[in-house]
Amino acid sequence: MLHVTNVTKRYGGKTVVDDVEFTLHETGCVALIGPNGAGKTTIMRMLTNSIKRTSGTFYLFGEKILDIRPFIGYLPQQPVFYPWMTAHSFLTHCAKLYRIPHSVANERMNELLATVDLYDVKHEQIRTYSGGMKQRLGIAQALFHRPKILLLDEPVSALDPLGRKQMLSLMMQLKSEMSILFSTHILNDAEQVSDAMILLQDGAVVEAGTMNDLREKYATAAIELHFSYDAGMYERKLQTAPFVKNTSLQENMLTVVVTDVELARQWILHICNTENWPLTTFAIKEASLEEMFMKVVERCNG
Amino acid sequence: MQWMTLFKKEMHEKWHNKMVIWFPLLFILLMIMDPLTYYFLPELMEVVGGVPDGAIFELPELTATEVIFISLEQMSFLGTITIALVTMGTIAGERKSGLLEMMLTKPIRSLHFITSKWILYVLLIVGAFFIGLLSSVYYVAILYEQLPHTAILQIFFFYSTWLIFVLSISLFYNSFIRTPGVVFACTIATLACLNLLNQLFGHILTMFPNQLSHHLEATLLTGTISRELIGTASVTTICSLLLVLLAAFLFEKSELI
Repeated sequence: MLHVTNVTKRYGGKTVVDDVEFTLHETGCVALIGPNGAGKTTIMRMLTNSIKRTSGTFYLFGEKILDIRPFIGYLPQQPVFYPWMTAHSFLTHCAKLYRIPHSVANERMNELLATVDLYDVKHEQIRTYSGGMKQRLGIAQALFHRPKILLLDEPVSALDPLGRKQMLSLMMQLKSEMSILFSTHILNDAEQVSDAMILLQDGAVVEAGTMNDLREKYATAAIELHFSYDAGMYERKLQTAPFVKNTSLQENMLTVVVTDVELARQWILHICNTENWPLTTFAIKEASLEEMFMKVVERCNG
Repeated sequence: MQWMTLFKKEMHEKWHNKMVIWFPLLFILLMIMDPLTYYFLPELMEVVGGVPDGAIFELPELTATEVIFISLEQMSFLGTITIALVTMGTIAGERKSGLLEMMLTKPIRSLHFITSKWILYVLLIVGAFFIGLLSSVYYVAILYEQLPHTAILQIFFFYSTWLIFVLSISLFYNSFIRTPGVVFACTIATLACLNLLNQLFGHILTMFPNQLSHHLEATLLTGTISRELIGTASVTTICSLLLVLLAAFLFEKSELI
């Protein structure tokens, strides 16, 4: 639906975002991942036009568009409100700006305030709200006009575990209705909700694709073994096996990276049985996003 | 429609921070201070003491027009600073706090945004000035003499254009500077430069905004509105409008972070 190409931001001679390109589909969730200072927020701000891009073209449904603001809902990293307003008066203000008729606005507001769990405090001044409440009100104002694209800048980083869980499940629910682009530096969150990801480093995209594609590409066939004792001794034994690429030991947990998972499983389980190894856990590990991330970063750093 | 929404928001904000109340009170204070102190100056000096025995002060007898003009001089100085202070964060503050980053993803036209703020401050300043002027006139009437109604209206009408001009300068700097303190400094520096220009070239630039009170005084003394006064007021108003348009343009072009 939205295709963004060649997006660059320079401050003087310093390139903060370098030739970024990506596509958002009508539904689904895309995560913008990168360490702090990778340019995630800058990209978000260029999409919302709150900072001007040095270069870059946006295409919406194949047509070139200068400003995508009419189609987006945006939650900044730290949403700020007029402290003297209430959630109710703020959303009413927003509804008027979007020219949403009063009756529609009222119904939608009550529904939305219930969803973000602010219904009971809707007539209290925003200055009395906690950080989490402001974040939820931020989500409500971003969704109020039913945008096609939802941009969320670090929506969960500042939340407590419960708030985080609520936000992620809300995102799970929303991504079937609209396109979500969200930035995060917490890989676990990205892994939970997103269908695709864009990995940024120093303002440039270093890897991008759907989660499935990336998992396949960076799949490490690793087997995790827990022993009740003497893991070191078994490590040395396993190292002699032909299919083992490398091993690493942490206390009594042994991670074995192998070339052929099937062969390795048969061999390890067989030897455990015959030699009576004190094995407590046997697990075949799927590549986590974190490992993927580390690999990409390592590759980039040469 | 959208403009009204923005305007009402500004109105509510000024109501919530009680500016509607304290701003006119401040203007009343500024305007009545001088007529009162001048009238009671001999008594004040007696009370404070320090005057040697036998010393006699011959204070000039002031006319109502002269007293009201001392009041206006106070406005030109403290009133101007007050306007610059209360308006310095009207956009810059919202920009700095991050409010604009979120609000301006919503369909808000720059011109509406700027003019909604401008009109509200115009009403507030002009209103406060009117109340301040009336209280000053009231004390002048009690302590000195009654000022003619036409003179009051002339002062109100023409002097307001100067106050609006100060507001417009502040709004102009607000449109692209993100620190309220810097906006304030720029506004005051601009006014100081204009004042300097006026002193250097005032004899050529007869319709320079800073000439306004000079022409106004002449008009009040002669009783007929001079062409220079109308010209200066027009120039000042046109400058204000241009500054507002320029502010909307710069606001559109500037980054919101």
